[in-house]
Amino acid sequence: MWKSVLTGIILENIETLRHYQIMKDQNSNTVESIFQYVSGVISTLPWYFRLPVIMLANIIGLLCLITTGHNLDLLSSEKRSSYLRRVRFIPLFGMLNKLVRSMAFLRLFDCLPLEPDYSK
Amino acid sequence: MQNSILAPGNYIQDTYSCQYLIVGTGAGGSVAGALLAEAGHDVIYLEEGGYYPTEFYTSNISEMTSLLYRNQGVFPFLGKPSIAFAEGCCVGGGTVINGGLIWRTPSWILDEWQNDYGLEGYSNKELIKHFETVEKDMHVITCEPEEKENLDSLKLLKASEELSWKYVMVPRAVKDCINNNLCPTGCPTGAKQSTLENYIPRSIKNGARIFSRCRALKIIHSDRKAKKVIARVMGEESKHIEILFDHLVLAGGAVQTPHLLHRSRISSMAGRNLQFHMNLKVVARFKDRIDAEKGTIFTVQVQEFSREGLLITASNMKPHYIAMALSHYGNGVINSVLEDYQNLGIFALMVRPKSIAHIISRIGDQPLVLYRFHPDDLSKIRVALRRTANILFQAGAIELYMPIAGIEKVKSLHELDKKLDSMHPEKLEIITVHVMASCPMGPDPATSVVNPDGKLWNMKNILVADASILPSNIGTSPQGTIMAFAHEIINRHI
Repeated sequence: MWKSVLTGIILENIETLRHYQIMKDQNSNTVESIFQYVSGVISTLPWYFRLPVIMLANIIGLLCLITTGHNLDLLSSEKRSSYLRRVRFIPLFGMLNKLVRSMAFLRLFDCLPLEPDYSK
Repeated sequence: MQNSILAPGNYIQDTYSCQYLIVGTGAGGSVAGALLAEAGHDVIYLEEGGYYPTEFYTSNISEMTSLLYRNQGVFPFLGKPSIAFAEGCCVGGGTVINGGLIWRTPSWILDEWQNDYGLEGYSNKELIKHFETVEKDMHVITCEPEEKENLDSLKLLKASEELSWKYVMVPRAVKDCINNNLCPTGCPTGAKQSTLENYIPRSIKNGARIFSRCRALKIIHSDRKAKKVIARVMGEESKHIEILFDHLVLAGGAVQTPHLLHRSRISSMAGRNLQFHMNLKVVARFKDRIDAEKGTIFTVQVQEFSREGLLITASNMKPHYIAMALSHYGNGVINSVLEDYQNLGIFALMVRPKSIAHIISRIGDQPLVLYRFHPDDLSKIRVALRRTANILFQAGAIELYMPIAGIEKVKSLHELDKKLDSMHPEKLEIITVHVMASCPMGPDPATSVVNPDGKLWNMKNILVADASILPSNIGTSPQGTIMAFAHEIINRHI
């Protein structure tokens, strides 16, 4: 549930970015890499931030399953966007989305080799 | 050097002892530890983060953020709006991930501390020897913006001249900087002089040991004397160790130091008055290429309004930072802006606010920071944004993307003015990297946490040597001030 919701929110935030579209053809692991990163960030948060985030994600995932019959990450882009528009009024969803969006952006631009490795 | 640095897996004993235990290895702790070790004392540093020397650093910004920042860079101050606080958590602390700016404390701030807070012994005259020492130790230089590689800074400089605004070349701790623009995630060439490049090696050379990935949990004390610190070795093989000492120096930063004091039931006043700076980022699109990524950061600083608590500089530039700075805009805007990447610059304005935060320590291992947005800060930020826009349009910007949710790009000051009038605080995108004044130094135990010698009022053997002891926020990068204060405190002590 956790993975499907987080992946769904990540996709919602990056799918229309041109940099992602370039990478999608080059590397199918981009979304997995971003998921691992964002998930890692959330796991290091203090419990009083982490627990509400995980609970909220599970509520969003459960509601998605009940109302659409599918996990969030398996919905088509249109259906996912439509569903997330409907749940954006749930308290704390804005905070969760902002966190995921920022961290996804941070990771996304490291998935494409844009520059030399200065450590070499 | 490696033998002096313990990491998880190397903590064989359950109890260690030393003369001086320093909690934290950043700007304050490393200076204190180096001076104490050089004076012949047995020093242990306790550092929650890992040890990552220069050869670890790469251009992979997300991975470096995970390694070097607390909570991988996510630490919100809760309020309206919530503020993203970024803090280093590694050997070297904030000095590894900052821009390497080393300012002397503005003399008017030192006067304010003397006149308003009664702090004697920290005037410019008394601190100047420490500033000079720090500048020599840290290899502080000022860089001129180059025509080919610092066009964002050069544009600020020229616009300042046209507006007759005061600007200065920024004093930075660098050696042979090649402008790779990676200061905030660890300089991969070792050009930026963090404490890893000087004070930490000096400490180790004189016998100091570093306990890395080891978090101080509690200070055990009796009869007004601290006896030992209980610490947790981080990672999969987590275990608790005890470190006995004669003296304790706290230098974990303005959030973690008061948190430790709270948890140890030593000071209830610590952490009530956490002050900070507010940073806001404006993305500017220019008509011509400026290739901001090729320049180093913070070369020129606009100081025309520094007495009013406003500084303006060019900021570090990578596509990651552009996207994050624009994350409150839709992806269509981000796509459109990134298409013109070579024409973009990120400019940071730093505001000295009246808003004050406080630290709650009772709910767990990590502190919770709450703050109340002071109503005066809204008009201060409004003016700051307008002045920043003014200089950027003067510099040739054709569009600005403001750090305000719900506001479209602006193409003129007139357009901005209309939008600023209806601006609400909760719409602002604010970050902070400078926190201070949570354990203020002062002459009166009723209003301060440490005395002018840096010693906790109610304990015989605990010194504090980090940003928490500054009486108030200082309106400029505090590293030089922290280091100078640490010098003064340790000099008085030994």
